[in-house]
Amino acid sequence: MTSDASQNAPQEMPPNLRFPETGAFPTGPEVGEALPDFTLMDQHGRPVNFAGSRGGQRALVVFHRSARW
Amino acid sequence: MQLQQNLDGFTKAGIRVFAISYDSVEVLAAFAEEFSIAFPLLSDQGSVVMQRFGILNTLIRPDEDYYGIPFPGVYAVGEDGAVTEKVFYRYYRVRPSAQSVLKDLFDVEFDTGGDPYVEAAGEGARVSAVLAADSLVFMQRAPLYVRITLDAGLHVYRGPVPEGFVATEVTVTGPEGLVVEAPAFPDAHPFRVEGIPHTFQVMDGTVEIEVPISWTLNEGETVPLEIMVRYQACDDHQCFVPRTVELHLDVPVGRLYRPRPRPQ
Repeated sequence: MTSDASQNAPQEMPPNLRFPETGAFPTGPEVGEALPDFTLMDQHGRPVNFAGSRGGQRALVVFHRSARW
Repeated sequence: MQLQQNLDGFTKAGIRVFAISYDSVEVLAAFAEEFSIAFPLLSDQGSVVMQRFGILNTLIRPDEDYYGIPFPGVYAVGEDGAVTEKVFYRYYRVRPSAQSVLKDLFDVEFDTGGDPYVEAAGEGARVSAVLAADSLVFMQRAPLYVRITLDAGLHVYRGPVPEGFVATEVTVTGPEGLVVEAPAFPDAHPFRVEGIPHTFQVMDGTVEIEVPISWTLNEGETVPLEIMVRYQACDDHQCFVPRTVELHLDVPVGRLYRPRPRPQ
């Protein structure tokens, strides 16, 4: 913990600029379009192909900033 | 987003979860081990997939440290591989709660078993509030669902209403650091009262009002919420007196899911 008072001041919550309420920033493939397939390494260093791994099930694909910060 | 704690909810609904970031496999491996992550954390080093999708965060310049992160968001994908819903945020610090994703994108009711919950009996109704997360996390927006479960044959009004009638209102207050956004009311249907030249909008059954709240202090153990629900229950002929039900809900402040300091 730091004693810097500014760290403990309330942060300003940014306005709820959210798609679909606003289209003011890019959000990629549109609703109704196929999500482009991809193959990426997972945490075990194994390649994961989206379509193959999904195997016809529904999926949630989360893009997040980083696991490190 | 605390996906791991809610992974069961997704799995039971037949939904596979994939998370993508620009981290290296080594960073993802350390994170997965520390938090026992059981779903794929995928490494998009160089942000190739993000660029192909067109969701690279263009607010960050290539010479800035965090270049290569996406606009944060989620795609819900159907069995046929098509995008059925998507939600994205412009600001990289904002994260939706996993349970609200499940409910909003997949219409799956989340298990509120461990979530902060309170209820009280009102006139002609039961009033409850549940947070769609087990805690409030610094700078994470979570929906508070306030429900008015009306007895059969009763309805409440949705504003605006003429003088003398009471529109349903929800007010949430708390300590400094709590940010409360405008409540979202469910759809209403038109209703006429004999002798009054006004078409009312009424809601019946279980009226669920969503109030987005967030915690903007990087400290604290518990956030006490005071929830005031004002409504007037009516049937086709008469109304109960208007009621204000007050609920008190103590919501724990969750640990920030990122224990390490940000890179310099």
